[in-house]
Amino acid sequence: MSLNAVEKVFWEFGTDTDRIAAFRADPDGYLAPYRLEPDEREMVKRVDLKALAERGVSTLLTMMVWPMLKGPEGMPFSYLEHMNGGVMPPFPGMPPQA
Amino acid sequence: MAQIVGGFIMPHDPLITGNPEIADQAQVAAVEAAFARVVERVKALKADTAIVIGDDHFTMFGPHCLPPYLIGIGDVEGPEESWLRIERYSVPNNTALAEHIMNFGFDRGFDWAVAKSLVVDHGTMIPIHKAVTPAGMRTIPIYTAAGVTPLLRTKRAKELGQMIGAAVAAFPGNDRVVVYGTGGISHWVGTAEMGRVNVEFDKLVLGMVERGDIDGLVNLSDAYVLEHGGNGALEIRNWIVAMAAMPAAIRGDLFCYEPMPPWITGIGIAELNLAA
Repeated sequence: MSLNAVEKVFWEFGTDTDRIAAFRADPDGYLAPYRLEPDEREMVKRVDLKALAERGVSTLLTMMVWPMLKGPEGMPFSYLEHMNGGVMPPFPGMPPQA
Repeated sequence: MAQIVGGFIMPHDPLITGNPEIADQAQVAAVEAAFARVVERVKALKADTAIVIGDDHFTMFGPHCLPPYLIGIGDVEGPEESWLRIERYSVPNNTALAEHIMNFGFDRGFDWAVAKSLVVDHGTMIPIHKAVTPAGMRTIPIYTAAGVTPLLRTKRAKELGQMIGAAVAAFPGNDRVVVYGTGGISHWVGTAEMGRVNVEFDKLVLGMVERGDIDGLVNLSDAYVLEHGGNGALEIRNWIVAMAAMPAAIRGDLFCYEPMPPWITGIGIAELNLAA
């Protein structure tokens, strides 16, 4: 795993938001030019930022792209829940849990 | 000749302006009062220029180019981010002094990255907006690699600060300069622990500032800082630059310390007083 290509993918999402639409429309086609390993490609496609962060991708980038790919609603709670394996940690200001 | 007449350490947390409502309002008031006190002090010092030392957060610089340290010598505006609730504006730069610091460094083995035109992120824009613009000063923005790896070594941060201090002292002008070391204190940015604030770590670091213990800060390993202060606490290398730039030994005078989990950060603001 190189990580450099993953960080390039995420950084470029931030520089041009039209890229998000292109990625959503055709993830494989969008990612084809990047030098991603097969497992990196799959993690990017399923937005498994936790796994990518655990492999060393900058969490500045994972935090930046989560609302771009998942929608801004629910930030930061949905992101934190994802980064904690689906369990929301105690966080000030979090909405009441059902 | 130009002089460094004062220094301060302060946060650059984007939520200070981007989302003040989510924090405890008494704590917010304490932080605002501390920023106001910084402005009051720089006016009393008759400072006309602030060297603001901050770091990027993958906002300005990408994987294609990550400068270890960069100086803005020309046009500056900010912020880059649209969500800080700060309408972008042009920030006056002391371009003559900035260019002098650049050249002084070049002549002494400091290979600056240089920006002739810069749109700054919250790493300097929050301190600029809160404590430079209200004081009517010009800004020289300096960015260190403190937020994105590979990081500037803390030893090099001290050397950089010492060089900046010497450069200002060698400038043939009447400029009265303050240095702002920005960022920190404990915060975990984008990690599973985001929201955690480590009061013990913050007080350890602030104690070193109060004692003027630059080497104590230099000698905190990145591994220690990551474990106890989070990836955001690596920004204290900006404080090292500021403290090392001061013309003599300093003692820190703490204006406020507020542990603020809703702002995901331990917030500290202090003046770097020249020790008697």
